[in-house]
Amino acid sequence: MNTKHRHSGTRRRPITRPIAAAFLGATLLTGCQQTNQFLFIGDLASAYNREIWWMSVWAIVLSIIIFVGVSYALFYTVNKFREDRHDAPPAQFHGNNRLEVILVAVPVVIVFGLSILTVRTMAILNPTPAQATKIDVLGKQFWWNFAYPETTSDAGGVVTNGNEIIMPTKQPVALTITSGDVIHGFWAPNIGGQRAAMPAVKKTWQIDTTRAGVYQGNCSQLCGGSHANMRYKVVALDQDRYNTTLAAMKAYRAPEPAPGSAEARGYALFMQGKASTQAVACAACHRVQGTPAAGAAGPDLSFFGTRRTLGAGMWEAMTADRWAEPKAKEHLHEWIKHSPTVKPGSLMPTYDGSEYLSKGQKLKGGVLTDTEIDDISAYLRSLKLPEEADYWSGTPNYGANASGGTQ
Amino acid sequence: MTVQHAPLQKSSARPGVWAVLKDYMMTTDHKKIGTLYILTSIIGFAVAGLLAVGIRLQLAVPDNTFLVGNTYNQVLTLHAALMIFFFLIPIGLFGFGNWFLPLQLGIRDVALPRINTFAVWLFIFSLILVITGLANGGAPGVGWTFYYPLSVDANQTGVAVLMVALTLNGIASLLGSANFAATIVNMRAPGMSLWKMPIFVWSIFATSILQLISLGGLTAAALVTYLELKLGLSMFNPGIGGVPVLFQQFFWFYSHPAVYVMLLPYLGVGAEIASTMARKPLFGYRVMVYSILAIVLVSLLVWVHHMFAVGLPDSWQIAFMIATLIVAVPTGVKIFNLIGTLWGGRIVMKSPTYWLVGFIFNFLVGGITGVSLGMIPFDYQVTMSYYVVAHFHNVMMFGTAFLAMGGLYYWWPKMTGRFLSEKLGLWHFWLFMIGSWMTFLPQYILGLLGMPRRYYTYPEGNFAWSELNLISTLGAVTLLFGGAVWVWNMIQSFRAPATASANPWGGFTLEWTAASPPAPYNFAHEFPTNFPTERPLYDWEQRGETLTPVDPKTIHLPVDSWGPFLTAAALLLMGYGLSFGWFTNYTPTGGLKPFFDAAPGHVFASVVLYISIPLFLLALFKWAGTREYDVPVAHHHLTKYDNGFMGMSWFIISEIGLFGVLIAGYVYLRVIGAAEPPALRPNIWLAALNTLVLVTSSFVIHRAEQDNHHGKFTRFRLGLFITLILGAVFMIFQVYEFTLFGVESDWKQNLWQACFFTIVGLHGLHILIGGTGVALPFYQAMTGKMDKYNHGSITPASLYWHLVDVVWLLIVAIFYAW
Repeated sequence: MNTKHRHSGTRRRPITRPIAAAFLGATLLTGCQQTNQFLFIGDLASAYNREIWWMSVWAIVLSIIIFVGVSYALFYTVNKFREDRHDAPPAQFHGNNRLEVILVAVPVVIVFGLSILTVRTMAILNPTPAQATKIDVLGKQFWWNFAYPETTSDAGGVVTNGNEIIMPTKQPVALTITSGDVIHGFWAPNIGGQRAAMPAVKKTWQIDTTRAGVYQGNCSQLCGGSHANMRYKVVALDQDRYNTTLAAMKAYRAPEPAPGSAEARGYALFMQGKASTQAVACAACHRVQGTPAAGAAGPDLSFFGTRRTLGAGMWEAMTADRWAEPKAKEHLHEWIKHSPTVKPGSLMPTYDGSEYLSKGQKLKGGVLTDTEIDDISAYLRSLKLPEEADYWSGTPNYGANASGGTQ
Repeated sequence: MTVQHAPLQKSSARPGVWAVLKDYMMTTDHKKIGTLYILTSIIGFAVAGLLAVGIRLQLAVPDNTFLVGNTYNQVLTLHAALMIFFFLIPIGLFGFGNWFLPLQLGIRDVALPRINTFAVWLFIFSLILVITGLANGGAPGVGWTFYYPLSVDANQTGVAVLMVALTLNGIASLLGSANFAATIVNMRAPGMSLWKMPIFVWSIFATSILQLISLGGLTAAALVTYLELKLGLSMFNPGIGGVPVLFQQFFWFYSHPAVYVMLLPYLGVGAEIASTMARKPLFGYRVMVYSILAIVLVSLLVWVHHMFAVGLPDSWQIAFMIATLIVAVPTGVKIFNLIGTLWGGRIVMKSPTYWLVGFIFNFLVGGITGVSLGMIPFDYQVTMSYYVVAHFHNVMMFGTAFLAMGGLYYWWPKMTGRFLSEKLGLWHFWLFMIGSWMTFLPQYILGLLGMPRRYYTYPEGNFAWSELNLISTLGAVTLLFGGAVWVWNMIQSFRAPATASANPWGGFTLEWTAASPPAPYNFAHEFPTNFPTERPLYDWEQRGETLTPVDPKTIHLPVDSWGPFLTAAALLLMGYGLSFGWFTNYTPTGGLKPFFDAAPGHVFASVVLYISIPLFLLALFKWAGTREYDVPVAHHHLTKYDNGFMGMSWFIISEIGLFGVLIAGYVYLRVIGAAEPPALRPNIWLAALNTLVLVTSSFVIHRAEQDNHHGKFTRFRLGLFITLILGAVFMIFQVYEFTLFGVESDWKQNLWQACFFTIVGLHGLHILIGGTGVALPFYQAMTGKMDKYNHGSITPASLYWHLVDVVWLLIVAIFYAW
């Protein structure tokens, strides 16, 4: 893997820290359920953002000059010539051609300059470097799958994770983005710009960061009822940890539950559902690496026990206990029981017999008892990567204060 | 239904509600029609404003539950659709346009007064149609941009009705625009050349042209979406090789120029205010006109900048980026020239002046942030974020809408004979100014801090999101107070008697010679015929020229008529039927089922649809059978063409635009290899036969027109009859061909076939429309409504028929021969 970043090593030193510190200094500490995080397109740990910053500096300077100049001209004019201050008869002139020419020529020159800056920056940002790490992004209502096309798992199938993307730092990462239904938008401002996820079209796009950490990503294109609940986490790991994690993911097979345990009962329900109460099998829609579950209608659950987000980031479990922590456990239970109730427009069937909307039709979900749901939760919690591959462990949440990060 | 002789009998009793309503339903008076536009727009603004406050209340705190999920999406969709299509476009272009374009041109009405009545009611009915959606499954929740494929997502509601309403709204808008253009070209006061027209008239002219050229994009996008919902016909469906991004090309081809449709009339308003209030001529009148025209031209070439993050080829992005940045040049010229107009004047600081100055300042910031969005890599970051939301509210809400307010304060005395209170006006202004910045400045920052737009909720803990959103909500509440002050200001002004003089601000254009409010005939005088500059009143005063009084009794105005209103009402019923029903009980997924198996709402709407067709024809023929004037009137027009022909000439630009957009889309799909014709496809020989039929009919109607011109009325009637027969033969062949092709293969599976049915079918619909158009003069001729002075509607009908013919030739080339 090429670790030498294309844009690094130039005279442009990241000036992230002072900016971030200034912003953080102003943070109001609120009692959050969710982690503090700092989303900012000016996060200069990303070469992408640095490129934009250096392009924009000139535009910002010009903008300030134009703004101050024109506002001054406006208010000076109004003040000087208002009736109560200016008694002279109004001058009846019809214009000034020389001035007009200047007022056209100067903006044309400015526009020309800005165009050159823009094209230059596009030429740097838009081409995909051949050696970039490749990740496939799939957006669907209302979740994401992130797959590593160059890494086929030992258990079969491409290594895929739902709603949490792991990427290496200090190198360009090429995302190939597509959608499984309507248009979505991939946007994690700290690591790069947006790209639309179009159905049936694959577009490649680059992101990067030099700083290991967890960053927030959001869907940026209106895609239905839970457009606002289509979030994901970008976990940027330094090369060694990234390699370790990916290797573990490659080797991963879902642990086989001990016979008679809650996990085993959950496993059975997960794979087969419960025909007597029309409860659809989870495996019909979800994939779990190393098991027969290979559904593609919902996000990949292979590493659910390691993940700290649920329902595409609707809930987070940022303690080391993750989904075993009482509050988080409750969320997981509610989610499985009736996901459309807790997340508007969710397409996952309900398991308490309540109605949900699918393809314009009101459908009635199957029924599972609370114990059965807890069994499934227990099975899901067991889907863990080995400890050394826990990509959350010790990775700081960008923008979190001392007490808020991940342990 | 009499000629409106003037002065009107002043009756002491106040007319009843029904009498007033009836008056407005039948009126052809451009001022009353303008009032209808302004009133509807104010209602649209009020409703959309309240929806905006709802949006802000939901976002005031994190994890709020006031408007959740799709409900929130429905609110934001209606907020945008109402603000754009029922406030910002109509109040300036059609409200002020109808009121002041004829007045500033020194004429008594627009070119086609009854088309004007029809257009305003169709506009109002399109709003009513949107509202009926609330009772029929719910409002659309797909954003006003109704991006594909979210628009055809089965879980979405109300998309079909939005498509139909936008199409009806579009037809109304096009008729209004063509009417303005025809009026300007054909009907200026004697002696007023184009280069002596007031700047506001120029801005309406430019906007109308822009609307006529570009609106086809929106209609095409709405039409294809609608057809996919109802029939499964699609040009965008990726499942059969369609291209979703093509929808965005169609949509933005109109919806970017629409931004300038919203802006240009107000730039005219602003320039009028600046000149009057500074007591000075415009700074660089010609340069301002050229910059308006430049904006029209360039705004047609920038639409792709809404799609940079889609990942189109870099060369496209760069070309459209340069055009986008170039728009800043003529727009900047407008700003500089407004300041230049104020420079050296004696600026009267009244409420219109405040709105003008506020506009210039706000628009400056909006323009600068607009340029920043043109710089593509920056756009990759902040497109679809709150930065964009703040930007377009900056240019629209506290940009152009400020001048909508300015225009209202400026022309209120002319329109009502009363003044709005200065004190309340300033309260209104400052509340709006402060409220706007409070609402939208935090949104700029939120965009930079990564908040995407159209989010109904956000979690706690994102840096500064909670605080900025709360400030923004407080700003929205401030705006609400400002709106309340404004409404109160308007209401209270009516409590005082009408005392405003004809020219309270000392304006320089012709509308200020009419009484306040103006009489139905506008002017009881004629103007001098020399117009040294665009400020005739100033020039005439300097030269000592005076107005020549005219006896109002000699003035003839068009008679009131039920025809236009009823025709529009029938279209409302048709729109209702098309939105919630269909001709059969057919669904793309379920196929054809027995008619009465459908849901009751669907059956009802379908029945309404069937009923609406005879009603529409009845109303239309009644309209055609009623003469515009009840005494023969020799029309005054500046060109050799009559107003009907002139109006139609402008209108067909929009038809060319509509077919142009659709055909460009088809050709693109064909060239990239996505749309391949199936093995069995419509035969060229039938198309050739049909071509012969249509071309013959074109010659026949041309001959008939000549016959009419030369007084050979029998041959004229025969010619029209033969034209109609030929049109019917064409339709019969085409129905046969469609039926055959429809069973040969599945249009839901073949993109080429879908394109064929969409475009050739749309042409077939135009044959029906054109045929109906030809039937009107035939009916007029058969019932003796035509005479030496009155040629009925033959010239526009025949021109339209020729257009339909020409489009057919193109269709033969690209669908049958290719």
